[in-house]
Amino acid sequence: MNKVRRDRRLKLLGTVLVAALAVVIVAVVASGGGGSGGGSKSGKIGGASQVTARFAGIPQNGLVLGNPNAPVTLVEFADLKCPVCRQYTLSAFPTLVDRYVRTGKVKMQLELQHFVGNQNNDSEHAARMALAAAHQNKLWQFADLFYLNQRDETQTYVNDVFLRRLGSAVPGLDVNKALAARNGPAITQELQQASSEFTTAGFDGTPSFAVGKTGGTLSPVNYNSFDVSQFSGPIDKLLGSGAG
Amino acid sequence: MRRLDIAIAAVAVIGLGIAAYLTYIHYAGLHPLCLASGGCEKVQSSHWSKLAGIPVATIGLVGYAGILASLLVPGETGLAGCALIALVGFGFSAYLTYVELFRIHAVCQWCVASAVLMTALAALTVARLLTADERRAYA
Repeated sequence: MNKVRRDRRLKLLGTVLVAALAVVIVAVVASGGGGSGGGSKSGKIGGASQVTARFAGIPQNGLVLGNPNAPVTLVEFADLKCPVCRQYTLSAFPTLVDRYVRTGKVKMQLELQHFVGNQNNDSEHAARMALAAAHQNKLWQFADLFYLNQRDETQTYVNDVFLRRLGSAVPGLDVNKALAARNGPAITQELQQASSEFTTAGFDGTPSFAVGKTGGTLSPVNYNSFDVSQFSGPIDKLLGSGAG
Repeated sequence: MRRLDIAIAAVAVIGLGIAAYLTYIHYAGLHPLCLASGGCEKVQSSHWSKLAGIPVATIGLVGYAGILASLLVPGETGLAGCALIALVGFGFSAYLTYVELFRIHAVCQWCVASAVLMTALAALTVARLLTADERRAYA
């Protein structure tokens, strides 16, 4: 290849590289640079009435949602900043609550992790406030509302202002009390226990689920999607095999 | 046809097959066959699986088809176009792999396979751009 042609091709390659880089940057930006969840960046909290309606009339005690004597227990290991956990909450979760929890067949337990998008301990701040809400039996409303207002997991946004706004949208939650309690030793211990259970169960990502007869050994739910059938299958099997 | 053209065509056809499969399961509402439990589904159901409302798999399908089509375009326009598509595919695949590892925390083998193919295509098309002879470039 002669020098003139080689130089021309190198220049052409340079142009192609610059053009490719520009297209990729546009594509990455168009994808949201990681995108955002459903949260409003204006700070306004959305979905409060929806959340209130979803859990109305369902008993709640600490981490547990539903009838304490339900024959089947479904444990969810989740991180409030995890966008995939949000997808589960927006897709299968409402149907599962209506079909199984509201009818007293299943109780759900939420074990919050804090490793997703945890820059500046953001994920931990979220989990701590949720556990403080759990002390007031408002964990599930708080978590659901968090998912509805979740933002890009790479952003740091779980500050006191955000948590106060979120907590104020949960009817019956004493926000000041929750904010004061969140950094206490009890909640630190609960966080550590949730992490320990997650590790012991052998999970390595969120959301992860374990289901079984209440009081018995729980087994992992090997889901392939957030279609309700992925969860109703194992639950129905347990209910049909004399779990209650 | 030069060896590089054949190699590019072969790799692009494999990529086309993967992208076609992922596009099909997307629109058919099926779940991808995946070795890791839930990994593909997590990636496919994440909001990164679409770009401006279009499934990334479909964009990949168009990209692989574009690479194949550009092989038929004569001159430096064809050489540059082919390399441009492959480099864009490589760059965006690299970004999506980062997203899988550090944001979604799940890996989809189909996406990894496509990223590997795009990497190979980027190298092959750049080599083709730099080495194609005058007759090929001005055919």
